[in-house]
Amino acid sequence: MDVTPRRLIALVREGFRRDVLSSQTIWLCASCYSCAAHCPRQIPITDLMYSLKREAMRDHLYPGRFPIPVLAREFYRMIQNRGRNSEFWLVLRMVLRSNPLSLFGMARNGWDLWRTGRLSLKVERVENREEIRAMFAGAAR
Amino acid sequence: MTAYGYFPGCSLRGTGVAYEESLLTLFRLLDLPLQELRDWNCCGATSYMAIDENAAFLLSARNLALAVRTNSKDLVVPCSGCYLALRKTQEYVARHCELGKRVNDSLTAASLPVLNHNQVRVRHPLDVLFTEVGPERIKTKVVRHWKAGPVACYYGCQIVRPFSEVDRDHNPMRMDQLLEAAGIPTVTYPLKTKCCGGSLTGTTHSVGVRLNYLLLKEAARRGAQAMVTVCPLCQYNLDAYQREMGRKTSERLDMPVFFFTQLLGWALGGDRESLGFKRSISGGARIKQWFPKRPAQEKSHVAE
Repeated sequence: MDVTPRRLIALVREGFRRDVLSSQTIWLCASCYSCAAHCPRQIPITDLMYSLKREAMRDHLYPGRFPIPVLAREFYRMIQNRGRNSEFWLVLRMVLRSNPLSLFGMARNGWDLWRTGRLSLKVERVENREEIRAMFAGAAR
Repeated sequence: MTAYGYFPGCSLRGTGVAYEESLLTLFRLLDLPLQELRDWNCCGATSYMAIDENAAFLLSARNLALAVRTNSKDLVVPCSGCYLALRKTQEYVARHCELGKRVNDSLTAASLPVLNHNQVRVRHPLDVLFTEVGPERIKTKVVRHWKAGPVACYYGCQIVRPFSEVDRDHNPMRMDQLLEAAGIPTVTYPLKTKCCGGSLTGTTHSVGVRLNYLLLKEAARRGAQAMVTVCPLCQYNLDAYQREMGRKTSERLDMPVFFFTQLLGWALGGDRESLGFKRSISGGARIKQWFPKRPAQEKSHVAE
């Protein structure tokens, strides 16, 4: 974590836009909502982190080759096209687009999943993708 | 009795397949019928919200609208990520008029029914089992006697946070109570709602693995012989990297990590094969001993 969450909020308040949006911190938020659940002032910190992630994505300020935003982007594309997530193909795409060499290190994990029948190569799809498209088109209007 | 709507989510068709197997078995044993939501889509998980807020809400809204269309009063959602996404969408659509109108306009554009507040009740199986079956009835239905040691119940983050009706967010106990009722002792486990890191094990690997190491280590320190989870991602994270943790710390970790539906299903007499025990990566030795394959061995394990 390159900036602590408190410091991050202070930077937002003082307008250090670029420092905030290019930090790894916002991407390391795993959306566990622990802070939001504990905050005595009910500040929705998770939602705040999401909005910073979106802004970093929109302005291409996220740290380059950092796997978390790459995963988010690849996930977004996959769901946009097929409506469902196929875990294996998603992870493969993320690794190839961030750190291809780490594939070797993942071989053992892949084998464990394969031998226990937990690695599905099937490409999952929604049948009525037209409905999803119509819904997103309705939102764009 | 009308069937519960059932939203499996993507993980239960992949890494979390044992969760679906054991959930279906357990619900069958308890005569709780499940009807899968037809043509459901991905809930958007946590990543979608990081790209497009509107679209993230719409993905969940379509699933809720499909449930409205099929008149499902309750929608059972086993994955914590899906549960939170659907509940959050319901809450935000109801709370923020402008968002609600946008979402409903988009649903109408796709000829889907609009959402009225809480028309569909989104429910985690832990909530259904606790409130509609309850520890007392579980007690009467137990047919197998647990002889192994205590387990640590790990609730993870998203089912006990702001939008949840599953359990309280500080020291949730419902899973402990159900397992105790089934004769399975549990340990006090203060890290029960500390986050497993979600997809961090796949992205910033060392960060994610470290979080899970702490969770496993604390469970072992408390005397637990296994961990029990309610979420496919928690189960995967805790289960899949124990060998790697052992290499890095030169400690031997071999802790089985179960879904709560597997243990309840076993105690209530479910068939070993249909509970997905063979899908565990860690703790193989204990699993073999506790849930033996051959019926002859199994007899010694069953209560008279």
